[in-house]
Amino acid sequence: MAPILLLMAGFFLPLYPLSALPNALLQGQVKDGALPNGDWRRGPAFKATLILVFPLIGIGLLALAMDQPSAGDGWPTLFAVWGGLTSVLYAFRLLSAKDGEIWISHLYSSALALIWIGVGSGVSSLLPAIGLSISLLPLVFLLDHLTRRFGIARSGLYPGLCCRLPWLAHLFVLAVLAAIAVPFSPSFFALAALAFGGVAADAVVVLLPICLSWLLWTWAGVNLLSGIVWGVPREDLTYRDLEPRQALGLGGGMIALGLFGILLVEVAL
Amino acid sequence: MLASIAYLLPLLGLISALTVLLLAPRIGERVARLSVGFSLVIFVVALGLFSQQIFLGQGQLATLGISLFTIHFDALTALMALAVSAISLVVHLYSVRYMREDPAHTRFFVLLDGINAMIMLMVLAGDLLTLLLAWHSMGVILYFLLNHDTRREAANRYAFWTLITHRIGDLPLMAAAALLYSSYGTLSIPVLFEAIAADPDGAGALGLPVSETVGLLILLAAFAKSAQFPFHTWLPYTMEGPTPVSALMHAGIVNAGGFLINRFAPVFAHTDSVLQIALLVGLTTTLMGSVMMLMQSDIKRSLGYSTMGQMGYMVMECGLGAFSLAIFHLIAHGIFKATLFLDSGSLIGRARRDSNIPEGEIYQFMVERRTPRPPLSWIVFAGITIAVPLAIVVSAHQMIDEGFLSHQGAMILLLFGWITGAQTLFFVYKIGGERPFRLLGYVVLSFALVILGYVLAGHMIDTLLYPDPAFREAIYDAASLPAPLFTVLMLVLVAAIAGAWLLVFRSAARREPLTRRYRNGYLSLYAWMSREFYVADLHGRLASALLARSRRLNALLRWV
Repeated sequence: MAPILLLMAGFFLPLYPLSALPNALLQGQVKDGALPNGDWRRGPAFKATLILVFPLIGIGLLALAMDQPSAGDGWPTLFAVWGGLTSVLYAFRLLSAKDGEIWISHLYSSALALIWIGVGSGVSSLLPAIGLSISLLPLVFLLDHLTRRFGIARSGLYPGLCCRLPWLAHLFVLAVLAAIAVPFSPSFFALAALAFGGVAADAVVVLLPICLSWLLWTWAGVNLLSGIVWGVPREDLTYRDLEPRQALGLGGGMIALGLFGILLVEVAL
Repeated sequence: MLASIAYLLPLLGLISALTVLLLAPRIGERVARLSVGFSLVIFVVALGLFSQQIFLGQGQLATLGISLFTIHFDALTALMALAVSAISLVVHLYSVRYMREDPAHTRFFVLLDGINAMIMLMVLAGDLLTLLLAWHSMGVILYFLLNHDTRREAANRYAFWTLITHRIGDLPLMAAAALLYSSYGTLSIPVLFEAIAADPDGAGALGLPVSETVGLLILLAAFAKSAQFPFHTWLPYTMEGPTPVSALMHAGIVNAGGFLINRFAPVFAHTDSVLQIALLVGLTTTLMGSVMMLMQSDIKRSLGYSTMGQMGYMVMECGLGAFSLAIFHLIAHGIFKATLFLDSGSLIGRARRDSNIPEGEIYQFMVERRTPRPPLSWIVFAGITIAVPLAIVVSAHQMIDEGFLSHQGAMILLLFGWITGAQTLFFVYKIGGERPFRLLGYVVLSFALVILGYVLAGHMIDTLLYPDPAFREAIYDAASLPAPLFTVLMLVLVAAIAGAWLLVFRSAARREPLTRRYRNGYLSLYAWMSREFYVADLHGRLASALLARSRRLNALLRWV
């Protein structure tokens, strides 16, 4: 029973190729007609809900699996290896992702797959999972703002936003930094908790996928910024910056995220 | 109490950044003066804390009641905080005029204050997580400072090189922190050092001793931050940022590696073969950086490679067990390199109007490329060149520390002092001139003063940072090679260097340059050096190949 539950959890805490489902959903690739009112599935509310709820379902399934008598038969280690490979695979693929939806879906898969490493080394997974998923939320909303302004959130199409949309660009930078686990974001502390926990359980090898994925996220994050925030802005586009109230709301949310990160590390370590 | 006051150092930096951000729409460019004011206060606080620490001696710990943001204030912290705040103040003062009328001056000052706060936090960190946070944040903020001109592709590219190299250096530090935490069950740095002293041979990863593994990881982290070979390419290329950022980077941030090694000195005192790696890497970096510096025609790139060479020397000093000397070196280098960077722009401007080189021997040699006949027989001058610097460095060391000959590290440093002196005297021989002996006298006197000052300051800092002689001995022992190997190595090195000097003197006397004699070898070496040993090209190719493979893989897997 435990392997089946673990496999089911692999849909929610992505394990390749089961990760195709959350990826397709986050990219809005569900066929037309499969869901009523198709547009809402591309909206930020749906994606944010998915990013927050899927890991929780996955953690619930994991908890059930670990309660099964067959859970100790080496399955967690096997799934930890699978999770580590999935994370590195998606981090590597993230390097060439230019479309915002693909970018966030690949990062989601790469980040949440690391939870399996914690499972393999007996680290409590709930807080790291929340930390990793919640750090993606600001980016989801800011990519939506880009889509509303330019029709698509894609790197390279409208560079130099920092010169035309300063509020949006600054918040976008902060959102990308939070997503790629830069200090003070909950994902940074989540990674630290997974790494520290793994090493404490004598599983030094956990550092390999964590470090590799983290390095690749940084590279991919810079690629995204280079194609959107930096560069020479186009003159043939109409630019409309965020309203101050929207900017303050998003900025306040990010400060709250930083505080949550500190809380996370206090509890997790 | 001191540690609690020390919270002000990073906090004032953050408050300054926030104030600049909030007041910029109202007071415009005057925010620069506000930022300078905060820097001045930070410097005064650091100075006060340093003077108090000298009297107090003991280290102190302060906490906020949570596991993060604890502060450990000791002599090393006090000295580094003073150095960082001084360099930061100079950079701030320079930036007021430099950034005038720059449309992004607010962002610049916010980031400048932010990075100074993070450097302070790193220096003061009393727990591993705070150290990690500050260490990571420095690389990220530096990325944005280097990318100040957001429209320039080159600025963006080289800022990325910097960020990714710094991130490569972040990872071993995290691994080291995780290993230390799992082995000793605490994040507190002073508590950890006590635990390591009590049980230095605790089992670490893969059955290796903790000290050895952690020492290696700390070195790797320091190598990336301090631009050691092969992680050096980011440093000479990041000249697209504003000059104050270059000054801060070359005088402050790049020194973080030396600080980190010193911070973890209690770990290195229990290692057997880790510091030798630092020696090897530092030596390679020194040689590469110095050679590359000579190849550059761009003054800022040349300064960049000079920093690389100096950082190599600093790491090499750590590899020899002379930890406190590395701190002295990084402070001295910080001061002179900041001066050079901040003056480089106006120097170029002045030189365009008037070269201002007196038309004496040096002008004839450097500009007119005239090589006068040497004043003495080359054999006599070679003897002076080899003997006099050696006598100076040995007597200077003997005056300050009689037992220096018992330390292998001091012997190798002495060797380097000797080479430097000999190089200077050889230059006197080459340029000749009308009054060579007066020039020789000046050079010998200057060299003696420099060496004496260096040894004296090094000794004082040694006593300040590591007052326990037993601990100093332990670090020297950790850096030692087996005695027979060391003896053979020294003999070979001395023979090779002396032989090379004689060869150079002989060829100079016969007016038959070695570059002509060994033309083919010289040309191929020149080609390698002009391409900077292809390290940057290799990194570029590797990055392109990885991106291409990522694209192919995504296409194959249909992007889901």
